[in-house]
Amino acid sequence: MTTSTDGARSSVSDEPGARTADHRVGDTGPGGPDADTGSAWLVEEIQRRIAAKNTGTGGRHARRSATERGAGAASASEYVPRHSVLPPGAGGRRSQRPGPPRPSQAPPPREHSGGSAPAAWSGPSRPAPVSPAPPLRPASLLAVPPSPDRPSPSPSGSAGAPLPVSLTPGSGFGAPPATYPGTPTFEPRPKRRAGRVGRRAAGRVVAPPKPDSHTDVVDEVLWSAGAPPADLSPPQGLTTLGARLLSMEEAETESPAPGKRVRVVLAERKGVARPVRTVVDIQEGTGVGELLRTNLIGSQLAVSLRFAIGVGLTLGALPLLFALVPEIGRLEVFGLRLPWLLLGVLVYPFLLVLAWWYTRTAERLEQNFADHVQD
Amino acid sequence: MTATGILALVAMGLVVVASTVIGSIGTRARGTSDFLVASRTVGPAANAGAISGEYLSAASFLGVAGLILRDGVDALWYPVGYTAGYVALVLFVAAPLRRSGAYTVPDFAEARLRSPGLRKLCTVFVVIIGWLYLLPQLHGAGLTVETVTGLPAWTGAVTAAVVVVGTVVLGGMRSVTFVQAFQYWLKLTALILPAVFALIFFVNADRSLDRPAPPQFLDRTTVDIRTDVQLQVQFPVSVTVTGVITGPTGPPVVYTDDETRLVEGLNTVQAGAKLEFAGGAPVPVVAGAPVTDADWLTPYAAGREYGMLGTYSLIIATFLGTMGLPHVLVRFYTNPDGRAARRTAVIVLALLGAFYMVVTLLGALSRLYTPQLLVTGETDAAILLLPAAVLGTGPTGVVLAGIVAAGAWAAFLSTSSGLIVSVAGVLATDVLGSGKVRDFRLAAVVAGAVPLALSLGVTRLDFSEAVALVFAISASTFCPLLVLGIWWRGLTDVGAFVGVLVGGLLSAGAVTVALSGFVGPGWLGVLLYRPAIVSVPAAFLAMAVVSRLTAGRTPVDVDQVMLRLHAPERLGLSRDRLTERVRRPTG
Repeated sequence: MTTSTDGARSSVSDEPGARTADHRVGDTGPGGPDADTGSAWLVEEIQRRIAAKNTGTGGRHARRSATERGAGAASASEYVPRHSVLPPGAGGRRSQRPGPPRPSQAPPPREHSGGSAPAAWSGPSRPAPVSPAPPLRPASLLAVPPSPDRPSPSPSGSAGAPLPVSLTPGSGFGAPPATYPGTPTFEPRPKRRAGRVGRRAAGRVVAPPKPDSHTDVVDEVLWSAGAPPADLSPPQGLTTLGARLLSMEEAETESPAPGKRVRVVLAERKGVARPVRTVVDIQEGTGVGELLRTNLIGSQLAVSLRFAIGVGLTLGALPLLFALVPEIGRLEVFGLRLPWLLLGVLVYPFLLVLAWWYTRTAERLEQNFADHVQD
Repeated sequence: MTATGILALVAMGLVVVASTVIGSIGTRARGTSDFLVASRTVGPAANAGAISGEYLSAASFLGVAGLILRDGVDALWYPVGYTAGYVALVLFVAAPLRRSGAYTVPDFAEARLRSPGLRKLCTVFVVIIGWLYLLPQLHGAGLTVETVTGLPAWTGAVTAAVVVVGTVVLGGMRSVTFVQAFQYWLKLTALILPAVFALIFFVNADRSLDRPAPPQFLDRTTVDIRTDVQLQVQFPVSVTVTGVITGPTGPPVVYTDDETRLVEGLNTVQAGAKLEFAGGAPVPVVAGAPVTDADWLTPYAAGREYGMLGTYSLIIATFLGTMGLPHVLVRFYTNPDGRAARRTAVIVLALLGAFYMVVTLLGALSRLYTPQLLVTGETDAAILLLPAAVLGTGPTGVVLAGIVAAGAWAAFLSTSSGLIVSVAGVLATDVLGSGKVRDFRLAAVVAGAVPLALSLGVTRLDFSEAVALVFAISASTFCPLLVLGIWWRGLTDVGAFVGVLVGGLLSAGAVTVALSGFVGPGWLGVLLYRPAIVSVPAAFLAMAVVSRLTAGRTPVDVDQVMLRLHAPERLGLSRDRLTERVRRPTG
């Protein structure tokens, strides 16, 4: 199996299951990535992973030790596989494990940040400099149901033809991903959107780049639907594929028990401008929504009135003042008579400052409201 | 024609050419959206510059300085009011109106209250306000041409109208935006240069305005009296007269190039007279204005009756009237969203403040340099004459005069463009019934032709007074509608209709009476000239009371509409009424 070839199989060898898998795979594989023939390898790999999952231990990418992490920024403790079940925020992880893989869905997209956690789904604007990833080879990954409740996905079972499969994980990328030897680095997809998760990404696979580019930074989101079929790299890419599959499998093993539903959030909602449920509530005029709305309008009105009264009283008192206290009209400041100074010079900065202050206050009010609504 | 005149003509021609060139950048505009709202493709800085350019009309450029020259501190409420009006707009109207997606006030009225009748009424007032505002612009164009070059005034008015309508027809709003931004900076430059020069001269000459004496003629000056004027003379002055003067006591006396003395008291000079004053002679000031410089520096100088009433009415009119001006509102629609609308408005305030500070300075300095205008009371030409008065007729003076004339010209062009675009927009969408580009062009021609005809008919108009009247109408009709519509859930269409009608009739009626020359006694006279302090509260009251009485008529979806107006853009609730309305491919 390919795992033996890229040199980082220590973790695997510790695990009986993994060993089994490894063993198994190693048995069948002629040894070395060059001997990869596609689907056969894939099948074995998947079976290995099932076995590894069943044993409840992690695969090669298990989060057991930091030593296996390669060059990378973050420490192992921050690494959160995509399918971790821990609540968001724990250890900086953001994603949760998907439930039993949805039928006909491509393998759930997962992150591949080598060592570091997806500390922040920082959204689509994280172009990590990654060399374009050669496609993943065995796309009949999709064709083979790794578990009983995974019906074979639609892409053909043409094992021979490497179907590029790419999936979109949703949004966000992790923190500066560290590379991890064996971790494929994938081309970051800047156009992630929430909601693509559940898509039947019967598409393509973005293959991992050549192994020598492992030192490049990696972004988690690597499967991107709609990626053009890249040409396939020589089988050495398979080692990395294997690694990915292992990690997928590994993450799956962390689920409490097979079959238990766990909700996976593959994207952090970034407050994109689309009506969300609470907004619909507000619009429908239900109790909470109505309260929120009247609260918003009332508070905005209060702020506006406050500023308006401030301006009105300040400026409106001046004619009265000038009429009642004529001495002001004769007072001189800086060589100018005081009324001229006030009305000709100072009033303009005063109005500008007030307007700017009001703008900030009103925007803050709106921000609070939007946060409440979209929490 | 003098060298100044030729240069000024050249400068004005250059402004027109530059405007056309810049405007032609926008002739790629094809869709109605392009035409009407610049497709929202202009950046906030350009938009802020364009708003300021459009807002600073002839009244701001020439009229304010003229008023300061004549009335002193009391006239400072004009520029302060114009600026504070913009603050009121930021506070109450900017973001919600943008979020409503409404393009004009009638559009907003329909969006909010679902009443076509109200929309029609608002259209009527938009057109009234727009045309009333265009009148002083065209007049100012004529005055500029006449003052600087000596050509008859109507040539200036006609040229301005033709140029503006042409720009609008060819390029629509988008081209107008760039042109107006350019024109703002031109205007500011055209003011800063003479201000700097005049200040230097003023400081060097070590003259003071703080004297208990009237201003003095700089040198031998001839004043042509074109309409009857009453002169308040406190310091007797010798004058060579050709014409008819009636002294404070006694019958009118006809002079033909005779020297006489104007004695203390009110002297009436008939139209057609020529008065020649020696250099250094004290200036007899038109009645009603402060006579001595010291008085002029002081608020509520002697002789102004009901000064506070008039001032407060003016304050109310200008503070509340800005938000209803048609060309101001249209500009908001070019912002991408409500937040940007607010922020743009803040930038606009900075630009306006800079401009008005310079104008105030120039107005004050013109008391020293162009006091002869005080004789006739037609002080609008103060800034135009200032460079020549300060620098003489040498090359610097001529160039500076040309620049100032160009700036004034830019002022008319920019505001007139904005007004014509907004009036044409309203006419095209509401009267002609469609949003096609072809209709818009036709409406633009109509929108320009009518005020031109009016301005050629009306011979004398005081800019800032006319503009203040326009503000009063706007404050009485659209301000209550906008403020109550945006913030009060309980407004009904009937209430809005009645309120707009009440405010509009009161203010427009007062305007008509005032413009026709009738002057009432005491405080009534002041109110006729400054109706806002009565008409604005009346409109608010009418709207509120009638809405309460017809409370059952609040629109069904009022809650959703209110939410749309106030909810931040993030939530994705705002709509675009213009694109919804115009779905057909544009002609």
